[in-house]
Amino acid sequence: EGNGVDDNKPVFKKFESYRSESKLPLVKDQKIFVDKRNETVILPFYGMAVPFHITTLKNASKSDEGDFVMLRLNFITPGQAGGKKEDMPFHDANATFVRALTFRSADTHRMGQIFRDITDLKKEAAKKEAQRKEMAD
Amino acid sequence: MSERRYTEFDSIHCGVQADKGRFRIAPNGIGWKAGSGKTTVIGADDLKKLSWNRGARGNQMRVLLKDNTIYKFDGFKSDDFEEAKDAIKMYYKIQLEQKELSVRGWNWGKTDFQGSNLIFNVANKPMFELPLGQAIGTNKPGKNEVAINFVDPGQPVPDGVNPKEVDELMDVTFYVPGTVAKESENKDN
Repeated sequence: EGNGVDDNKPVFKKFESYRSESKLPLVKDQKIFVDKRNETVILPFYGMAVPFHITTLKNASKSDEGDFVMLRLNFITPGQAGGKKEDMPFHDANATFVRALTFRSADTHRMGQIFRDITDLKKEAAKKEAQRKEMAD
Repeated sequence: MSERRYTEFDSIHCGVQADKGRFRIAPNGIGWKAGSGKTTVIGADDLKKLSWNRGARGNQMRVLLKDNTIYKFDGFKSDDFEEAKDAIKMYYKIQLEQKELSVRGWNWGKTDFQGSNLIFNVANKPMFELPLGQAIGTNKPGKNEVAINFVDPGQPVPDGVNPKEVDELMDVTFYVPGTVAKESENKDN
């Protein structure tokens, strides 16, 4: 369902946030950090700084909940009804995927900025990808 | 005789707690004490495995106990590794392993379990780790989906955490293609 494989399907285009651990920027706090240069969002998971490349992100949404702002990140996985012309090719469709993450913070201003940075980064990445495809044609 | 009987590091965090404390590696065990008076003490006999990796606040020491409890201390400098390694080897005869984490930025991999922790591995390197013991619920929002809930919207932040200074992970949803066994395993937690 949704991930039917045929011979004409586009091939998985490899991407990588960082070549090695030493290239991961040192994030001092347990806060979300948008690394525009490397097209990556670094997320705090119980003391770890966890990078997700913008290519894996489907969309982001923000909602207010009392004193907090909640940020939900939806990721691209198999089995999604995306309504796209072509299915995104997967490196390993049988793997376990992170499909969604929700974070919250009471720093509404910073969370607003992070949300804008993430959506802008996504838009830019999509534009670049479209340009790349155009060039390839 | 003034021979030092322990090795100590300053400005170390314990878990997600905001307060910094002194972290001590001593013959009888590992100790952490915050300025606030909060302490964490781990007896030397309980230690099973110690590893070192990049953390959200500098470098992190991951301490696995024989009962599979996991403690994490972070805020170490890269240079602290050798000193910590020597002390751990001397006092506990345990090798402090340097563990490289996956920084590819992929959202697909394999889940593995250690005690009550879920480890998400990408190309055989851990990418992140979730303490399922701290989860407050799990559910199946959709076909092949498993969601693990750590924080409810109305829930106050943990003690010692400034809600403006920490972005808290509330829930994680996995997509698990066609592996029924794994889903029921998560649901039972």
